[in-house]
Amino acid sequence: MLDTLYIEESVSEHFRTQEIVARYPAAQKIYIEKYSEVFNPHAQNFRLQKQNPALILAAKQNKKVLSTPTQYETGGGANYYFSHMLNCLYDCRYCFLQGMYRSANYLLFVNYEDFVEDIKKHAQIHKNDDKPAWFFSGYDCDSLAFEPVTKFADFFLPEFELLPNCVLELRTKSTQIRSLVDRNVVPNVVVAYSLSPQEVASAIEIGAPSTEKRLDALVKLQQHGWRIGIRFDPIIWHQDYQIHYKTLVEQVFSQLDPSKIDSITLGGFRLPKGYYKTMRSLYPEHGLFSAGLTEQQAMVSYQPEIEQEVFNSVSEFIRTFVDESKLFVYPSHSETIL
Amino acid sequence: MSSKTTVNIVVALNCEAKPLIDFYRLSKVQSRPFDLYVGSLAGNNKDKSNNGELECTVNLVVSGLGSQNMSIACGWLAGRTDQQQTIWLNIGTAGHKELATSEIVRVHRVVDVADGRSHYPALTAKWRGLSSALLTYDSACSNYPEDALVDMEGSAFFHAAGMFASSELVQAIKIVSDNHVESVERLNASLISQLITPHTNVINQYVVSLLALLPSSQDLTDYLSMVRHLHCTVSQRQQYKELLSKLASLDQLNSQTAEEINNADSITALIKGLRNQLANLQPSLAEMRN
Ligand code: SF4
Repeated sequence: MLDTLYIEESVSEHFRTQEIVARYPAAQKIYIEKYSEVFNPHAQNFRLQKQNPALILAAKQNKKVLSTPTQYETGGGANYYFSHMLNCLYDCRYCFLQGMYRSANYLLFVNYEDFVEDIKKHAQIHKNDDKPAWFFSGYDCDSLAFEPVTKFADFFLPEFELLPNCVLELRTKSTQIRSLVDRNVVPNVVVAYSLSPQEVASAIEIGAPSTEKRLDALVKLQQHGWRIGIRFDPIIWHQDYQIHYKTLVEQVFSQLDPSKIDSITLGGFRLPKGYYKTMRSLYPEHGLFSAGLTEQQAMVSYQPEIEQEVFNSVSEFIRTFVDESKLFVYPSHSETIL
Repeated sequence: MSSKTTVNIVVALNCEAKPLIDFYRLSKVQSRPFDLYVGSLAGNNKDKSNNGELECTVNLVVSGLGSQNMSIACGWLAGRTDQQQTIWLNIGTAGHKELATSEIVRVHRVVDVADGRSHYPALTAKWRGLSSALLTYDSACSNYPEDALVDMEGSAFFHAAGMFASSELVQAIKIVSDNHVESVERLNASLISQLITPHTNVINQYVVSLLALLPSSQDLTDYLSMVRHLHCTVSQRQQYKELLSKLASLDQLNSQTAEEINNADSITALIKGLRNQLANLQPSLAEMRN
């Protein structure tokens, strides 16, 4: 339950703000000029704040659509991301948001209409491309976890339906799929689930639905006709990881039809060095940040030989079920050869 | 929560301090440059202190009136405190146009009227009462603004204490002492103490909820002192501490490690040995649980 809502004065009358505020009658409402006054100050501690985050309602100014960092692509054409929300309901220990932001408050940009305007401009640029322009949501938050409040998918799906040369990829671990299963499939939307073995999920994906529940949601979406993607990202190296990932892969492909999966990606645990340092200082007692890691070109990731071993094993498990063309592997090191 | 926690309470006046000194049974340990009282929180939370959860030091400093005194007092107190796990709390009286005298209010925004600088403390700890903005003036103000408290130290407190702790742990609680009906002129020391006394329990509950935010900290003290026999540069000491911390996170600080440290001839060789030990470890999921 949210105790505190910060509301930018400029959006206080926005219908979406008012709908959200109405959901939290007991919350304290604090009106602010700019979200940055609350979200950006340095002397904040993400770990402490995560225990009771506030919700900030604001308008996103300036650029709303950005080019993706490399290694965030699934072999399509142009790649972009947009973030209607910063920070997440869940608390995955590996999440780079802990290193990127000082504040763990949820920051929701309510001016969805402006995002759509920007998305349309980018769609226009790529209207003659051979491959669709790919738009990722869920880079700075989980796309669906806060759906009952944000109605994000509810709003954006019909908009993408009108942009056939674009694909929207919703990245999620959430089971909040009502807004998808209650409507017709949008053929240019992919719902991509991050999956980890249940042992990993319960250890370090705090607050996220269990692997089984995510799989249930995937099955429902697939049966309903939605395009789905599977993201084994990040793969967490640990004692017994081979057994855990083998079990997970078997679990996934015993329930989902592999021929109707859009893409499967493998990603390593990798972070910019600055984020890693922040995260380790927030959680010095956490083993995730202590072993098997190396620093190269200002990025911290598993040592190349560890990453290679992990990717080889997990991709081998996957290849027994799925056509090679659907598997995309994103090594952190150029020397990781598969 | 670790047992090495500290609550630094800063008040402007002795009469604001008195109810808290009585509540926490603090003892005066110094009177220059500021009156400083020290005690332990466990003394006042006996029911919970048996399991060690609430043991922490309470420092209370009386800064004197005004921003300058407040800033200096915070800096002075910070110099005496281990900054690792410290909570900072400003308790005091404030005026408000509408609120009844004796209302207790948490500050959610502070504005320095002189320069317009504004700060929003992170409101992470649970608070069930009222909350308000606070305007800090250079001198006593009886021309109350709409919907905000007024005082003479709040902004300086947040600015100064905010240098030593993160925003979630730097908070202010004000008790309304005057309003448009009951003027500031009628206040005296005894009335101010009387206004604060009924709220000491609520203040203490808030302190407890602030303390509950603090994670347990790694205690590496014993291992850090084991290298006293070795000559270390600052950087080597830092590297050694980092390795200890990583080994501790993997549950690898044990008698064997202690023996290796005690037998080391040089810090360089020791760091190399610990690095090798770390390089061969594969974490288990148990070590990744929060
Ligand atoms: S679900 Fe994604 S965004 Fe949310 S905490 Fe986990 S990794 Fe971060």
